[in-house]
Amino acid sequence: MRKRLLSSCIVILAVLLLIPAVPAFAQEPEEQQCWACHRQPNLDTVAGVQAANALCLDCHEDPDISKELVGHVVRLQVEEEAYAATRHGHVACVQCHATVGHSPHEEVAPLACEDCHSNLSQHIATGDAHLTVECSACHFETVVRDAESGVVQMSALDDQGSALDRTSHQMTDPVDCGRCHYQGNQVGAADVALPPKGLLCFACHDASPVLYAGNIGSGGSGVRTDWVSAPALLVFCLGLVLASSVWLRGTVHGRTDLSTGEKLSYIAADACGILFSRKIFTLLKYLVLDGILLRRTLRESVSRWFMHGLILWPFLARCFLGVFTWCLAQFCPTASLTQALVDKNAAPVAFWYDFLAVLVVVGALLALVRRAFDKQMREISTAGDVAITALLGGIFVFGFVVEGARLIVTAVPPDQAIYSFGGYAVSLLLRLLPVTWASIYGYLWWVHAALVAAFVAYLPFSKFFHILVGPMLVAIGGLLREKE
Amino acid sequence: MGLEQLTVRQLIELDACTRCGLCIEWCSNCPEIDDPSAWPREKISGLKSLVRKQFGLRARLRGPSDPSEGALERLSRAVYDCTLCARCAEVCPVGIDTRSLWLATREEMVHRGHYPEEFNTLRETVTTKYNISGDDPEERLIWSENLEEVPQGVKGKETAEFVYFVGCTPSFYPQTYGIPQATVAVMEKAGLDYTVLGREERCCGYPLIIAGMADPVKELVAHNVEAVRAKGARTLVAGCPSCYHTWLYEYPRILGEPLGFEVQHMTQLLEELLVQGRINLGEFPLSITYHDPCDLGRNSGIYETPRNVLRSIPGVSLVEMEENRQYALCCGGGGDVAMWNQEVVEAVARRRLHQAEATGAKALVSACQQCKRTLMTAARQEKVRMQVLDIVELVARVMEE
Repeated sequence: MRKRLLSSCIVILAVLLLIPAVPAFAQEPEEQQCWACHRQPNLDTVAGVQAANALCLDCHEDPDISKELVGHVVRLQVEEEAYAATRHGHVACVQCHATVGHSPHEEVAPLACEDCHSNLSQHIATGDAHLTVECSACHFETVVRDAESGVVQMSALDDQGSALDRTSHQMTDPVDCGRCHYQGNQVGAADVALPPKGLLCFACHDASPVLYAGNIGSGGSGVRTDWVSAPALLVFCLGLVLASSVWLRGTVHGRTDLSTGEKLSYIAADACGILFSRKIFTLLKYLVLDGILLRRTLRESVSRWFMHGLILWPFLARCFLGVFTWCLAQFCPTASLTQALVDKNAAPVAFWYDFLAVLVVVGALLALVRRAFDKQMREISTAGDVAITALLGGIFVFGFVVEGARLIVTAVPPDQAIYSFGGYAVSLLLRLLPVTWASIYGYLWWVHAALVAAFVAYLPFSKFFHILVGPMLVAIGGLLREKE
Repeated sequence: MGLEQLTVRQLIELDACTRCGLCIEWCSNCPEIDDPSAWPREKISGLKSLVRKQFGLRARLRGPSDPSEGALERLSRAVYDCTLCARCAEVCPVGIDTRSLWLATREEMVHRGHYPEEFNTLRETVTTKYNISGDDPEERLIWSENLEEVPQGVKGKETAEFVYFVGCTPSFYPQTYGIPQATVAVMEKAGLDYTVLGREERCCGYPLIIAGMADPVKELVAHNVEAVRAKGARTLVAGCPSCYHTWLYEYPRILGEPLGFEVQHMTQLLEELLVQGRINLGEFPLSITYHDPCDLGRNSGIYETPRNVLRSIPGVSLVEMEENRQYALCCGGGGDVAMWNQEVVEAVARRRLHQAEATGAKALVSACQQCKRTLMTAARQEKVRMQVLDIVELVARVMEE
């Protein structure tokens, strides 16, 4: 009886123990992981990494180990000591080669760099054009563009078509942007490497607020300092300082005997009195209603309101989209929304950016048409007013030219490019011109950036200063009126 | 000195101008002046350039400089041609308080000696005769001489609950004598305990304040406030919107303390008396239109009170002009422009009169002696058969015995 009970218990225990193993047996052989049979070491420990690598090196230390790749025999021997001396020497093989721990033993996905380097900002810092470039393409020796997927990746062959020894694990440092960015390259890169979109570009794009981007390229091929934003912002700030130095000559609380410091402290006290009280809601109400929704303009003229709104609101929306995307990339880089937003060729992103820009162009055109055809407006317009409105519209129009050229250079397929409808339409026109757009693209980009920089630098000295001062004034005015 | 008195906010306002030109579309006198310098937008540019030359970077490095004589002349002309109606402030998308900028510019022009010489006469007259007409201050009550019976309030009381501040224009310009006459009739009818200041009343100082010559005003303020306080009054009633605005907003500022009594415009008192039933109005089957005086409407925010008074007259049909309330066109008589450029005044007045005419109303009612004077003159010149009345005159006319 006791024996029967014992044997029954053993059977039940065996069944219970076997239940978790059933799915493993039920799986197709090709989906099996090494860790189904081998005990998974703790890769967070040095011992674990060494144990995991020992498993790989069991085979990969063999000097004869190789495989055939695109018709070439590629050596796959890894020397333990040499590997340990590389930058990633402390990392387990399977942490980067995340898909090789399967049966059959084959690497089916790119290196899993993002598992550790999860912050996409490095790539955004080098421009969102690199979203279709695998990390290994820049950080190892040679690159190739996959004709089917358009992805730029590490090449198996060198320039002479011979198989590359890819086992050294030595990374190129610093990155040589010129490896892709040269005349006649085959990977869809512009002839010159362009800097990442800088702080100023946030006005309309997903950009990077980095004025000095660090060592991201070598030999001047990767521009490290934001030469667009830095000088423009310097002049802009100078303009602000000059303007505020004039403002601070004014009286505060009706007193003419105050020093600048005393005035500033009075103003700061007043500002705190608003910011840290319920008045802030009143201020925000007027800021939104009059500063952003332009209620005061609407009250006087629907056409003016509509025209001004067409310029302001899409501009604000693009700015918001850009900053929002950057925030997402900083704080949740792997989220699918982030991945969708950082890709400017993704259908919704491409469409919205273009749609908003078209609205701005229409607004600027309406403003110019009004000035040209409305008798009263013509009488009160000055050449300067027309010029600066045209500059604003011109920046956006030129943006479409740059986008059109980009679509050509990076060979975005038409069924995807169509969503960037403004740029796509321009690209169709540009294709008619006998020009190598990969050579021109860099110049177009720089001209667009320089126009923006000029606009921003000129802003505190022009009538467009109202962009900053107007909403502030109208909000404070509303607050004061309500107080009265 | 104008520029030194500019507030931080005013200096920011100069940078906030979008140059949109809405102010030009709404400017009361711009259509009458064939010079873009008169546009509010250009006045802001002119003042901004003046400020930059005094406080800007170059001024800091090399010392302040002055604009050319021509530029100063143009700016001066532009601000002294302005009726200070403040329609530009009303429509400005960024809410620039333009009127106070024009006043500061006038002060600066006085400081620099760039102002119409007629204003020297004004200053001389107001500071020596204490009125704007130059008449003998002893004649302040000349308007009361053809009253059937001069009431005790006009003869003068030692103390009274109400002090009626008549103002210079109704005291000395015969066209407007009817206003104080009607006012005392209403006050008598309502049985108010009131008095006037008589020879002790001095110009409120408004014409000098808006001329940019505020310095001598302190003395006028001190005298007037003392005179009203001596009567132990609870309320000061002004029939003139400019006097009302000055008493209510400028006096406490200049004095540096509260007045200690209430300040009312006649229309506010009329509304109170009607609500309290202290006066009753008889039938008056007439179509009328109301002209908002700039200093009562836009500058003091009183739009509905006079309309309520008019609507309470049985039989009256009140029709609005195309531009009314905060959009009301100036009568042309504001801003001391009448002191030196009568052409602009008359041209603006004609436009306003024709707006009134377009309503089909038989009477044009205002609540300001200067509006009445200007619009009445325009009606005569244009041969428009339309009665031009002050609201208190209309009320007195339809008041039941």
